[in-house]
Amino acid sequence: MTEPAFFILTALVSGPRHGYGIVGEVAELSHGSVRLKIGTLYGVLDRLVGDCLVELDREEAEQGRLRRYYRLTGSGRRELAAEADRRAANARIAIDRLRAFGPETAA
Amino acid sequence: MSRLDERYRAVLRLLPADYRARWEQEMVAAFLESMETGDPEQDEYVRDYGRPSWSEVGSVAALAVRLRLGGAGTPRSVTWGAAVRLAVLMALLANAVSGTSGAAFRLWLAGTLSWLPDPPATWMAQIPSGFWYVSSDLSGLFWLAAYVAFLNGHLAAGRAFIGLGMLPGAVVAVISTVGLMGVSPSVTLWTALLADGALLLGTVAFQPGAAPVRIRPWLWALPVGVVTVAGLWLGIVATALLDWAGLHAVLAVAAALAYLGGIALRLLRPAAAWSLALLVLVVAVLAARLITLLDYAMLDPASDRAAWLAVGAAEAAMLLAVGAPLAVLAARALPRRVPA
Repeated sequence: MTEPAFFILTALVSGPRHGYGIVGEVAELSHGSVRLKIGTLYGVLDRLVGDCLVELDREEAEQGRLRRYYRLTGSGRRELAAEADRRAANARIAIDRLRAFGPETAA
Repeated sequence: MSRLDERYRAVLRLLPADYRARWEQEMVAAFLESMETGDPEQDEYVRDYGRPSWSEVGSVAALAVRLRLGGAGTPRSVTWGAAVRLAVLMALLANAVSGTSGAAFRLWLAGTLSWLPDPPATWMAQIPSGFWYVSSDLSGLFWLAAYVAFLNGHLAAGRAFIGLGMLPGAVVAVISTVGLMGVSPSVTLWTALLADGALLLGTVAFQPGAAPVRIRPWLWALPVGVVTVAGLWLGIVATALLDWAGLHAVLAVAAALAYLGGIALRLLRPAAAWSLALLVLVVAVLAARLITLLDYAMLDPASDRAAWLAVGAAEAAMLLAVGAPLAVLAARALPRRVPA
């Protein structure tokens, strides 16, 4: 799972969001380190929708613009949880290693 | 519709029509929202005079490449993607074969392959030496590593090896252009660099989700290619009329003839991706062959210029001869464009 996909799924955990809303939420979750461009966002969204990890929640017209809101599916939630566990396990390996060979450098 | 809206829609035209039909309205809405500052006057100015940033244009361009070549999308784009991947693999194979042969040849000249007969003294006098020339030959082994890496799906490592393989050649090209160390300028050096750069660019077609490659036939092609090229060099190098572009022309024509012959003998069925891939390679090699003939056109007429030009013209004619039927096969087999 790519970093943008991981953060987009995470952004949708708290509820449905539209495209620009996802961009803002991802920037906030990553403390500014992941700033999605619109091309990147919709490339990933297209793939997530195709893989049934994300689905359309509703459409709204606001000030003449179309807003589509997306929500996490059950599969998407399970996939995100599995990926989060995998990343946490990998991080744990690195932290334990750092502690074993230099306790003063470990977090 | 504001100017900003128009400019962003113009960028989105990079994307396939079917993708735009599904996502364009939404992407434009999200982009325009991302450009709002909250100040009505500033927003109006941005709507009239603003442009998408280069990073935003880059993200759309990267998405366009992934959609058009990465194995997803319309049948036509899937075919193009498969063709580009095949062309890249064949070009990598050619570079791995010539690079391995070149490195082995250099090692033989240096006397490190003691189990082979000694090379003729005249060859050692004719082949340019010097750190960057030797490095350029030995860097051929990076192409071998790049080829094996791509076959096994290690894309990042493969691209890194390609970069390393290009480096000495790039340095020699710069040295020759600025006239350092008494090295003459050469169109061939820059053409080779451009070809390798195009190859590196073509690796973007290798995306997650693209159809995997059957590895074994490609691995077998490597030793077969090395033996063939070594035989060609040993057989032809006495006349010294097979240069970099000529070698690639011979390999491209041989591959095209094997494919066309297989179809003619009903041993193979034409496949759109293979026809396109071979056509792309033949066109690229033909362009390289024609450009590099400039090096020989600048030679002293009293030298063997006429012979080089004649051989080069013959190679170009052979490429055209195999390119024409490949173009017909590719045009017939390529899926039609899907209307928007």
